[in-house]
Amino acid sequence: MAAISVKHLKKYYRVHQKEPGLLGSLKSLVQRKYFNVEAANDVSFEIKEGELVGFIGPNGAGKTTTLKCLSGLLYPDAGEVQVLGFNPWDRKQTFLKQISLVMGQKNQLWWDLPPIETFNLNKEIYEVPDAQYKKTLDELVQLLEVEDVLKIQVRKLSLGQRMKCELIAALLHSPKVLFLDEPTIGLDVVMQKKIRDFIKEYNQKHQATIILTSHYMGDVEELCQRIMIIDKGQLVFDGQLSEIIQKYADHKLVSLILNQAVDPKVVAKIFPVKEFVYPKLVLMVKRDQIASTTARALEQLPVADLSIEEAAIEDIIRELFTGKDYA
Amino acid sequence: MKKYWTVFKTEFQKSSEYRLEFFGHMIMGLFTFAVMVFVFRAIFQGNPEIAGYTFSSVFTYLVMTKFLHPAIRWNVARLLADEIKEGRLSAYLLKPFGVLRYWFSLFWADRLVDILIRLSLIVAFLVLLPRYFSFPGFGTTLSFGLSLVLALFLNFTFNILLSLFAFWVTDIRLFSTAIDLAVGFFAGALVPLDFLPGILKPASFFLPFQYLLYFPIRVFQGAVGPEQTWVGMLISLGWLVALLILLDYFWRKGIKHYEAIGQ
Amino acid sequence: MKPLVSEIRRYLRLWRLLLRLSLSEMLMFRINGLLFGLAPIVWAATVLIFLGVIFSKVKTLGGWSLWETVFLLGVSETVFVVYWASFLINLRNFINEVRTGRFDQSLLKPINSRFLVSFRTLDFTLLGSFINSLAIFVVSLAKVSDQIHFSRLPGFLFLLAAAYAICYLFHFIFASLAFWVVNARPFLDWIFEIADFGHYPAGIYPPSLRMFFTFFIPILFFGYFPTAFLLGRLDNLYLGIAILLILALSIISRLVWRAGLQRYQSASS
Repeated sequence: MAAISVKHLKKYYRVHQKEPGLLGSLKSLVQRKYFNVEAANDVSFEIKEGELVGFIGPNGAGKTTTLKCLSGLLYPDAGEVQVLGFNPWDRKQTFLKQISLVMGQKNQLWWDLPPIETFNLNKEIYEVPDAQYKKTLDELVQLLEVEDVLKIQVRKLSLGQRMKCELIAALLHSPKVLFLDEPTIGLDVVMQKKIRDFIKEYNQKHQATIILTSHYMGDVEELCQRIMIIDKGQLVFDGQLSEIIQKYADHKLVSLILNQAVDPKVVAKIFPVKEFVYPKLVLMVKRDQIASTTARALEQLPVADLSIEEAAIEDIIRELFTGKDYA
Repeated sequence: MKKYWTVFKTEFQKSSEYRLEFFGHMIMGLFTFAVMVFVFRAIFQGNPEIAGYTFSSVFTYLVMTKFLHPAIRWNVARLLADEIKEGRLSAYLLKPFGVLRYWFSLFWADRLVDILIRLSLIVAFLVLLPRYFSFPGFGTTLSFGLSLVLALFLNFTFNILLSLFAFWVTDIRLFSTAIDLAVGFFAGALVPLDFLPGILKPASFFLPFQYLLYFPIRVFQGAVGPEQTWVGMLISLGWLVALLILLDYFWRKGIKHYEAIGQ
Repeated sequence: MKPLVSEIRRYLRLWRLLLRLSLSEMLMFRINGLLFGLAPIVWAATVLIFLGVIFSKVKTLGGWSLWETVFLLGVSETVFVVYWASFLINLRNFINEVRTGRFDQSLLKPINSRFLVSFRTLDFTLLGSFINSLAIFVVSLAKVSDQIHFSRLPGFLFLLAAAYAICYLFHFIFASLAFWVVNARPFLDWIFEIADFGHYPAGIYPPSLRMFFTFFIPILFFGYFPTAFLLGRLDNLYLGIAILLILALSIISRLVWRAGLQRYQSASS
């Protein structure tokens, strides 16, 4: 049986539109215009136990909404959702004891107390036996290297340390299903890697089913074999990461800083320009042409600095919609 | 000069945005007001007149305090005290008197909207409850207005003076509420000063706080004769001058202390 | 039967833990005089002077003597601090959490959400007020002791417990409105202000108003009725009314909470 099963999930919000200005405010007092925002529109998928799946998509695409439906925070408007055999929104205690949701921006640690106190509290709330609690705590603390910060007030910790402790708090009861909503948001590159490594290791060790949402391509590349792309509430891709990279992220961005002005029209004729705002010139170059294009650019353009980046997830997804088909 | 006007304008707009909250607070004040009315009604049951008041005049007095007391209250002081506490005065130190003018603009922006709304509410009451109110004559209204302006100036100066404590004490919040309560009491916010027993009555008539609320309201009620009105206003003006002198003195001392600490 | 007992024990254990955490939280702050500020004393002074003023002009207020009225003040204020510290602060925080979406955290826990919402912290910041009002209570108790019949003590204690329940349930219902209205805090503020009617002997209010404050907005139960009962001024009937009120309010609050949760879970963004 699949750990998570979603069939034709639909969830929309009614939002009222307010016209700007004073007249708009007055109007909205009398008559409100509503329209539906489809946060999830006929989404279906199945996830097996132990899978590490990534949900990606631009902001507002419906990732968080789907996660909230899976964790029982939201009722779907249509469709079926089963997690570990439960209807999440019944919020049965046995269900809640087996899942965990970590939201990047909203934390559960008590702000003015050391993390260890929140951990203790969770132990009581989740009714974790003493021995198991000690074992799990030690393991997590070691893995995340936070021995020194356990007794320091949360408010005094850095963002990275806080995130690590949030993860511990979420995993003390050894959930079978873990939902991670933007876990690396706001963290520096080093910390992002550390968190990613931890998640990978945890998944392998405990066979926990993990769904990770992110709008960082990097999170997903490192961690997930299987990716689901959600855009405008629809599941537009569900498959292996390697497929996407091959099929859709076939280019990289070469950013050049020029130290002399050049005629944009001339540049556009010779190079695949994505955008050019002097002194920054960004080229969209196919992967197999990066070396040659970069060499040409260094030769023919007055380049002061150069960097090569992954295509932005938004670009990939945009490409997915403009004319290419996703079979 | 222009920048003070800008400060005034922005604060004015901010105050206007809190209109809903304002009305929420007004409705809340209504309940405590109602309780007071019932209490005084019970007191006046056996006695037609107490300390020179009838129930009707006490009612009027209570209405006026309900509307005006929040306008004569501790507000700017906390902000200035915070700035002192957090060492943000350095920017102002180049032009010390500019600070006071800045806060003055802030104060008035905040108070002006407040006062205007409250005064219009009082007028509304006048129209709706002719039994308790009678339209005071022009002279009385003028005196009332003048004494109210004086009250606001007094309140401002007193506010700033107290906030200066922040130069020496880490957190004025320790006693700001207590002072607010005490000042309100001696301003006649809880009960007309004429009712106070024993030594409290002469004490309250000695202190300047009576000019914040009690005096303007009594002028409005026509309980203060023309001579006494002038005397009262002169005395409150005198208090204002005294407070300004104290303000200047303590400001200088405070700044020296501030610099000495090396903020 | 057994699972019920273990459930109760579990919640008691949790409550003790939450208490300990609140205490730790409070100690983490520098203990500044905010806890023991002057304000409660000054406030008490002004109110006592006011009462002195009243009773210098009349012998009784609504049939109560000076010390009975002071006693009423002592009881009202003391119980208020208890209400505030134990659940009012939490209900106010709850309203904020619903607004900011932090309420999700409470929903994710395998624990009764009402419990978490109502008793999360114990707020110690009113400690100064508590000591203050307790002092008033004790002093005035001595002065009215000859009016207190020992036999009325159980009823008094019962009414105190009932007051807690009624005050809690009543506030809870209005706090739950946070599920529908963006800012539900004014509701709680208004209840607080209306409760001022319970600080004076109810004899000064017309009977219709008394009825209103007994059955409709039962603020007279918060502190006035227990005091009146202890002083021999209240009929046993009110014990029954208290029970009925608790029942009614329990049902209403349950319904409102369920409806509110449903609404929250169907439209949260």
